[in-house]
Amino acid sequence: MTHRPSARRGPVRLLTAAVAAVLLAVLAACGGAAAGGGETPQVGDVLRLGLSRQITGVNPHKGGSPDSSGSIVGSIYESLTQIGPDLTVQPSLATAWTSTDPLHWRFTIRTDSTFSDGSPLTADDVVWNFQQLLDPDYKGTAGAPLRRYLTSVTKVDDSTLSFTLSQPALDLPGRLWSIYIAQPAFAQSHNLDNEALGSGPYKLDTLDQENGATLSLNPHYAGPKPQFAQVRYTVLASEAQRVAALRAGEQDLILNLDPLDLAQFRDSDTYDTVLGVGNQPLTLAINERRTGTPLADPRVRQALNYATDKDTIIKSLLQGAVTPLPGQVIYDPFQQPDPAVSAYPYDPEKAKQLLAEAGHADGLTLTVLLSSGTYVSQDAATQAIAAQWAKVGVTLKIEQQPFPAWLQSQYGPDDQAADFYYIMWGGAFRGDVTGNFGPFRSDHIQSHLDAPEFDALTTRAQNATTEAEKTDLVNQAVQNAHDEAHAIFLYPSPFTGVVSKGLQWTPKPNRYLYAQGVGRVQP
Amino acid sequence: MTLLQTDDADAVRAAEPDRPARPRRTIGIGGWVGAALLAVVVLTALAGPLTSGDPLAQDFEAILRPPSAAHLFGTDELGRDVLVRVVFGGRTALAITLVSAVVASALGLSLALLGALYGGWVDALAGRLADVQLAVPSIVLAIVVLSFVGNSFVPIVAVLVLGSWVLTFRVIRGHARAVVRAQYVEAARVAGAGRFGVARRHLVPSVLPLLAVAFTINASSALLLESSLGYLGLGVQPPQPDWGQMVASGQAQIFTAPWIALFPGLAVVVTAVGLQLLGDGLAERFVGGPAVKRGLAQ
Repeated sequence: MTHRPSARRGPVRLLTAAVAAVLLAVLAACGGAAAGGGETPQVGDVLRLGLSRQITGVNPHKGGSPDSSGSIVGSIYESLTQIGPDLTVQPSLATAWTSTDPLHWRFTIRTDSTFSDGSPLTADDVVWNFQQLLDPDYKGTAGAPLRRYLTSVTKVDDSTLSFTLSQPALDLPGRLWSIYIAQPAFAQSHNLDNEALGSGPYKLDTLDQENGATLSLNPHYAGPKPQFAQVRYTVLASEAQRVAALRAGEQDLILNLDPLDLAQFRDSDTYDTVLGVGNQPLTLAINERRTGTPLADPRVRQALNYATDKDTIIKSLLQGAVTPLPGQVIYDPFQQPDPAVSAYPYDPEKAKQLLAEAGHADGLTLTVLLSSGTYVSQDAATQAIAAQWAKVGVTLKIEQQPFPAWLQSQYGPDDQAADFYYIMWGGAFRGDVTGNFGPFRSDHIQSHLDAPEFDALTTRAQNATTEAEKTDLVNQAVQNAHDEAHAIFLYPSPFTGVVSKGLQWTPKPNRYLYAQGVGRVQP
Repeated sequence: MTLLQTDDADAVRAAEPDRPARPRRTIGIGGWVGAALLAVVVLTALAGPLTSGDPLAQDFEAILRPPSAAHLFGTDELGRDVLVRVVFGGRTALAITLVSAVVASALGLSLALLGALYGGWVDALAGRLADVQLAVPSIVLAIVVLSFVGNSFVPIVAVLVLGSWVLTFRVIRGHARAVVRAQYVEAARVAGAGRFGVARRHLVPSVLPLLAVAFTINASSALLLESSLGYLGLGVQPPQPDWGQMVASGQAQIFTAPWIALFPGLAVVVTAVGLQLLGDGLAERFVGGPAVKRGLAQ
């Protein structure tokens, strides 16, 4: 064989390979479209749930994002109270509670609860968990907010606990929903970040933080037995992964899909789609503390609120699922917004005027940091916002990082943090002052705000002793945050999901995807 | 074959005896096809902005429209014209590819010539640097570097250069070492030529054909790496268009709006194939075999 003919075959092979690759791509696209999600609507023995964020651990004393660690932790552990689908506070380990005076509460707990190794969950175990969290040196981050108002938890008898507070807390039962109870002996001898022993419906079998976790039934669980003996949580950290997994029939239930992408599953024989309103607001969190930042000036922050056309984004990208935030981070139907405060209207001229008054008539360049693939429609929405702001002379640079790095960036110093974070955060239950407003306070671990008046008002609201006083203080705080524009108020998070027709499931607008909340459709 | 050779191509053949008797005189059909593909891509990227619209212009009344007379490549989820974005994305991709391939080739050439001329520890140091570089996968290096320093033009070009200079270095170094030992170079030295003179009159002209081949392969791998980084969200950031980034953003809609990912994907394929075909053609012309067979590409 000579070189010449083989040399000629090289280009031919390359061309053939290129043409084949293109044809394959086209065929895959056409084939997929033709399939239209027509897979058999079967749910197997293993319940397959998709998570949209990387797992950051399963420590019951470190909280956890809803569409990530929080869903797994809530399936393995129990807490004194839990949050229902309507965001009301409901009994869990505690069956009843009463406040004897603003600083003293009593909780009655169940005595039949059992850890997954067969040992009973006792009042002493609950007390031990709270003692750990109240210790300032303890590494469980859920303890920090507790220590602001809780002095001690003591055992009265085997079924009664006494809580002593340093500050009044009208919503104490709700605040305890995410304080999960670990078995003391296990907690002291194992790493709770990646090992678990709880009293919840499931026990942890395997954990791979980047890819997912497998769970199986806790044979000693005292409550109603869940319908699935095995559960597999899979991390699907990008929209493309979520869509592909559903198209391939590899998942039974996934939350957090872009509303535009739901259309391809609407006529499916396999799946139903869900498009509604989530309970937490989407905002651009502002870094007001970077040295020399123009965002320290409230006129700039107000201008950017005026420059943001929420309605257009909602109508097109979010398929009209929500309405703009009413100029505050609480909204109907989950919270009680202040009716006197309303959304910033879209008014680019007013925005230009405010920017000029603030000395930025020549424009500004700012940066927003996104968590890759985490929030519904975030890429398109921030590009739309960037285009809107460009009309008033503001250049918004968009950067992305994986969720853990994005989170770490918020924990970092003010001067190294981005100007904005596209973020969803807020309360977990009705009237949750701490959750609703905590992330927007200056002292929140992820916050880079400078809002002393808002901080003072929300502190007083947290410590209010009557509902009327609390409502009044909340309204004042909301008005302050609106006037000072301590956030770019966008819209409630759309609640989206795709669920197998073979499943029975009550959506929780807070996005916690607990395995025990999913069952089979009964014939 | 004479002992004192002045023909550079013959020097190459002398250094590598398995080479065919004489290279072809043209770059062949494949080479011309590659050149034509590249010409189309480059001309479109250069001339496109004169005639097409704004790649950032959003039209919420026309989101996810399929290809039509109004939008030949359709529109994306923000109603932006995919054709315009592919054209402007080409400018970005080609600019980054060109700059990084030029810098990588210059760096590889310089180190190779220095090593060949000075030998000893200079050559050993350059060789070890190349070994270290080869031991680190380009994509991993790029992800780490860009995660720390951000993804503006200079860092992207820097990681592409780091990922591709070794190819030029290795190819040129082997050839240059052979040329330096050739008797006609010895004769030049005896006649009084210094290192600089040898490099200028004998080495550089001798390695230019190889450099041209290595450049096309460098450019091809830089383009693919740049697209990969864009796909991973570490390259050019939205809303500025970039082929890899457009493929990634259209991936979720590949079944409902395949045009968003398909056309930028095709642009990457066409450009990469064009570069590879041209590289093979140049290898045929100057070296006497396709680049892969001559060990110039992996």
